[in-house]
Amino acid sequence: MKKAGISLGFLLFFFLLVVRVGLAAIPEWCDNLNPMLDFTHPDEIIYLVFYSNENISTVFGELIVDGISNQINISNFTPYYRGEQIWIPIYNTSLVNYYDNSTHTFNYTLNFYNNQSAVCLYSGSFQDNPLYKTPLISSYWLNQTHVGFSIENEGENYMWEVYILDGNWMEVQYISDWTTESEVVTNHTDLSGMVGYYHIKTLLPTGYDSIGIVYRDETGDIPYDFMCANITSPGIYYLMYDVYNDVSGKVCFRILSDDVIFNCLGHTIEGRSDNTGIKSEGYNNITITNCTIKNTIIDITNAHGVRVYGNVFYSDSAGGTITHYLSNAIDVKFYNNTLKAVTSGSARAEVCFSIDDTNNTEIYNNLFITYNTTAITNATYTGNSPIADIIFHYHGRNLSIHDNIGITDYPNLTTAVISFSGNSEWFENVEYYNNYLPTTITLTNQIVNCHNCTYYNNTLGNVWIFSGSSSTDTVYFYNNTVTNYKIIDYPAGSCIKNLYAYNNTVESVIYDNFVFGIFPICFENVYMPQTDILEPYLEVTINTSSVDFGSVNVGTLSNKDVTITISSNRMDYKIELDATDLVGPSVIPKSNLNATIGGVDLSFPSDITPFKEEITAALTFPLGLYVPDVVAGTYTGNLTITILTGMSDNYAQI
Amino acid sequence: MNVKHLLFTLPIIIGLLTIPVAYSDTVTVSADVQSYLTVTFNYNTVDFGTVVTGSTGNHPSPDYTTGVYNVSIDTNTNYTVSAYESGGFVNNGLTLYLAVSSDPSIDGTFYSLGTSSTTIYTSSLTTAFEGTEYHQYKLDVGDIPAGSYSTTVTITYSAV
Repeated sequence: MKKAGISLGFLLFFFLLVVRVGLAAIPEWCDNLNPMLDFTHPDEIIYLVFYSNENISTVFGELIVDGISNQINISNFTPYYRGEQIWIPIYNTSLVNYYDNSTHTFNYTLNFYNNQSAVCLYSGSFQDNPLYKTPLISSYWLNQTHVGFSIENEGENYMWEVYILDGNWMEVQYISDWTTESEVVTNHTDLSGMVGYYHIKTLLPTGYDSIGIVYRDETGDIPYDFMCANITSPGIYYLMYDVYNDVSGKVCFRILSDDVIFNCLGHTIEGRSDNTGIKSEGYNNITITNCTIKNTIIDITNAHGVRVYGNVFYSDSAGGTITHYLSNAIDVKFYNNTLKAVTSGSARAEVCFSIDDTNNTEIYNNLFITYNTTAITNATYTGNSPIADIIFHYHGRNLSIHDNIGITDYPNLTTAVISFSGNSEWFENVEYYNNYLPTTITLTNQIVNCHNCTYYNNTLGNVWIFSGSSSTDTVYFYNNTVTNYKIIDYPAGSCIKNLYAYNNTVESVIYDNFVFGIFPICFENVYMPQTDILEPYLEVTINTSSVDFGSVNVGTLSNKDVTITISSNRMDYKIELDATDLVGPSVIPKSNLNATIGGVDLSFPSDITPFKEEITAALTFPLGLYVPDVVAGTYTGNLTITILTGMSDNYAQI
Repeated sequence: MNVKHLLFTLPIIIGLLTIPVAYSDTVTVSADVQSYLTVTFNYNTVDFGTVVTGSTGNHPSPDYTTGVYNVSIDTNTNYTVSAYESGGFVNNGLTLYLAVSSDPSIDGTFYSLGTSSTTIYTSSLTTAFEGTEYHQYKLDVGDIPAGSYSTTVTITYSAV
């Protein structure tokens, strides 16, 4: 008994030691492995695909299929690298006997060993992966001059073409056959009647490391079902290729199952503003990750448990406005995503997430990027600014929005916000903090219909607080830096109640729709100490020192540009123009000078208020001269340009 | 407005007293207005009818005091009027006189026309002008053989 007791203690001590060492290595290494098997060639070679920063020559694996262990010494194989992926061919063809071709199911357990110490376990059931309907590139094990891939054909009369993807589709030469296989597709234009897997080899031009495959049916159309798919079973789905969906209204990937993780592995799903990249409606525990979604829509509706992270949502001018939807969802986390809108010239791009009727939603660590590919002008931004935004609609509850950042290529004109719709029902229990979204034009961080909402430690551009279809009640707004801060008496709205705004750095405040001296009827219990508002500043340079209309004829209107550079922290600009009579052989009344700004007529000496936003820009407006029937000759006079701010009835300043 | 509203809006009223910020500068504006002159003749013939030789009384053209010989003028510049005749009169002992007047009932200053151009009128406008000017003709007839005589008169308006 004593001997047995000693042995038991030794064994126990030994296991504890091993486990402690193993546990220390698990988090760093196993989490990055993300191993999976590729069944592109179930009748030939199975590929083990994983990620690792380790020297794979020291890695061993144990693949267990249906209880049968197959030791894999990875150092015995030549790995093929695809970006961060490591592909290991497993030539144990007996494994394919466990692959069910009818159900596309393969149950396995994968144990990884590092330096012959157990450090990572991975197991799973690899069931029907519809994404693999699309032919995959399964090469690099030939050499770097040729690529091979296989296709699965179910007897349809499909033709195929091979393209190298280098940003554009470029046709390459078909090389002929697959010399090592008995089943060879020698006529690549007709697969009629051929059922099963076929292997094709083609030339990979020097310098290209990726390939795309396009099928065409007998009519020449591309059957997108080969690239798109329905997901009908739970599981982890890896997208192994880029997708371009050019069919109006088509949903490319439709998730029809609970418990689906859709991992694009960095690949792009590209489409159009009138079709959908990924759609799920009525299924729970849906995850979208590592995807680049370009110019097409993600739509997840009626779900419990939604995770959207690590994606890039991209819209350029070709896509225009792209609106994604997360609707009627509970337990939503949207994080580590990039929303990117790139406008080319005056062709606007917008990428927007509409989050509607959600409960327990957390939006954090997202990056909003907007920029214009051409030279920026004030007019470009006011009319066609790129926009990246998240807008809440309808009834949102328990919303946490934090640590999101908006950047742009043009200071002070960022167009990225996370805001609430003014036309919606109501929102409650909102915590909004540590966000950097200095939007100053086009878009506004709206606090509307908000009940029990707390904003703090944010840097924001435009902030509008107003009551919409329901009241805005109990809003705490403190320790924020705000450029333009607008309190709106919403004409058809209800009350702003219990607003506590304090300790904010606010550059300007505007009361909109206020009649001077008359305050909103329903504006109750508002605490807004104004001691922290910055002093107004106004810097103006009139770049045009003189305007010579040159030779003009009576009865005509001539235009010459006048350019003014304005920099100010105010939004309520006026420009007044006054002119002395033009003295000459006779007199041209100053009323015959005409000017417009932004289509607004300027008359003398009356003024206008053409701007409602902060501005830091060069403003060019046409100064017009109408010549009445006066005696010919040379006339001269002076035009006085006055810019004022912080003074009008409608745009009061605190 | 109830008391509650007054209490909560008071701080805002105080704040609204901020003085506006303004900037002002002057730009020189200039223009060179071009001239125009439009003249339309409303007649092309003057017929003195039958006249007596040797007269020195300056036969007036018929009805010139009623304004039948006139021109329409539209201009924003001063101008001169000059005229000459082709010699059909002066070479045959007839002398033609022409005057310009703003009122047909008041004679202008008559100038005899030769075969060389003579300035017979200079305007002095201070504003653009659009209106009618009247031409007045008189004729001296020497002791010349009876018969029909004719000549061509050229009248030129020139912007100054």
